[in-house]
Amino acid sequence: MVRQVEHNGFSGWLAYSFSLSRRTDASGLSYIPAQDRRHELNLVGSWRTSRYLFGARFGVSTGTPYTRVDGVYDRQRYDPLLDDWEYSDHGATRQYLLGPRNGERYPLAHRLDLSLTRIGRDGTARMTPYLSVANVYGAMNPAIYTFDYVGTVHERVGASNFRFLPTFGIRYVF
Amino acid sequence: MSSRATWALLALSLTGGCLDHTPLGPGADVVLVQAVLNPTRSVQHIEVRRSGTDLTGGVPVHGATVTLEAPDGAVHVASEVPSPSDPQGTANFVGRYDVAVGALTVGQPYHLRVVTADGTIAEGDAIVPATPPPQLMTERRFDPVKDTLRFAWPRATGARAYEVRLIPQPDSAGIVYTDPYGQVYYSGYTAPDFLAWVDTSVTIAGTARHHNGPLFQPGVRYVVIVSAVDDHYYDYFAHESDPYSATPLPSSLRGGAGVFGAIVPIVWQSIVVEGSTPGL
Repeated sequence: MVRQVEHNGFSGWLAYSFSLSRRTDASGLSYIPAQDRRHELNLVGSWRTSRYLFGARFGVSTGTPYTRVDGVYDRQRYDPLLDDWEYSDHGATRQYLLGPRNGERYPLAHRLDLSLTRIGRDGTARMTPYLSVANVYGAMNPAIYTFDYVGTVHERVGASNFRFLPTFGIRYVF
Repeated sequence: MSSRATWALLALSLTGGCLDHTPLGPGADVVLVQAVLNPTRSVQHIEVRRSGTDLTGGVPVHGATVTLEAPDGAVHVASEVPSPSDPQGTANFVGRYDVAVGALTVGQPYHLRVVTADGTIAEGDAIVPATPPPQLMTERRFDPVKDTLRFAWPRATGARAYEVRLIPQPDSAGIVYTDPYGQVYYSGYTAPDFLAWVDTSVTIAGTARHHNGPLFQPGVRYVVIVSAVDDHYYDYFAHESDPYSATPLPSSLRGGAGVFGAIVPIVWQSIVVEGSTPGL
């Protein structure tokens, strides 16, 4: 980690971490848990002027491990009364053929957040309106994948978190 | 900032979650085998399919060599047979193979081996639990307001659990199910049957609810079957696969997916629920 204490209104730090995480389940299978963040880099900075405080944070990290779905099939139930397999909707349930546990990773995740704060005073109180925007450039970091093997078009659908999330508020300290 | 730009910004932020579609090839091509040994039957049914198609039901596997090796070493070869659901009685929609092995030996392993035409081998072993003679009970009337269904049975050697099935019979008055909204379903539909995994007894109140409606539908005849099941049957049917927690469905087969297990019905009773179904 490299840190710059405030100098001429600028402060910030650059941090990098490397970690390895493994777990073993009850059957003895060793796998990488979803919490594993192999590489993580964060760059944070703020600039202060007499009336404004500008902040920025850029982060990039290894994607989250996930388990790939390789296919689906119907599991029919056995009917001991009819001595046969049940093919109705009530008797069959869809099951998933899975790849190695957490054997895949989402793509590299990255995001830039910016904020701007107006420093002001209202008598003895301090009023600071602010605007911050998360994920400024709309990085589509997948939060989850779903797999669709039913029908003629097979596809993986990745759903990302908020693409662009502005927030606005006023802090009033007295 | 203009009001239009403000609303556009707000809408963009609220609908920011995006979907990314990536085409995939065909699903994994796996041999799926479903087979259970039922000692109350003289013929055992084995179903052989393949995954990896557009149909989740898979495609039937024809021309496979399916053998069942008994504990005494005798090898019985299964025959491919037409599906019971085929109106012509000739097509094998589900990859069905039947094998007649006579009386099954309890407590000792049977070996199932499936060899498909392309040489894929799926095999597994199963042991039939040693159960006491089944309790075959006479039909009884059941008042869901006053009555409670109670059964108990001795523990069976080799049984992992006991499956309780409450199966509505479509022969009861032509109707079989009233949904929570009062919609009556006539023959051709079946009420959702009830299934529970228990130990050596079960108690079901007449007022129990199932699928958001009464479990015991008035006027319907049900068959209650309690069966002792082995480890493989229980693991396969009492669990669900879940891609989000990376939980696969347990399979007792090597070289394929599915089940080769054993089930032995030990309690059997028909009940007729008093009352009549609305709409008749």
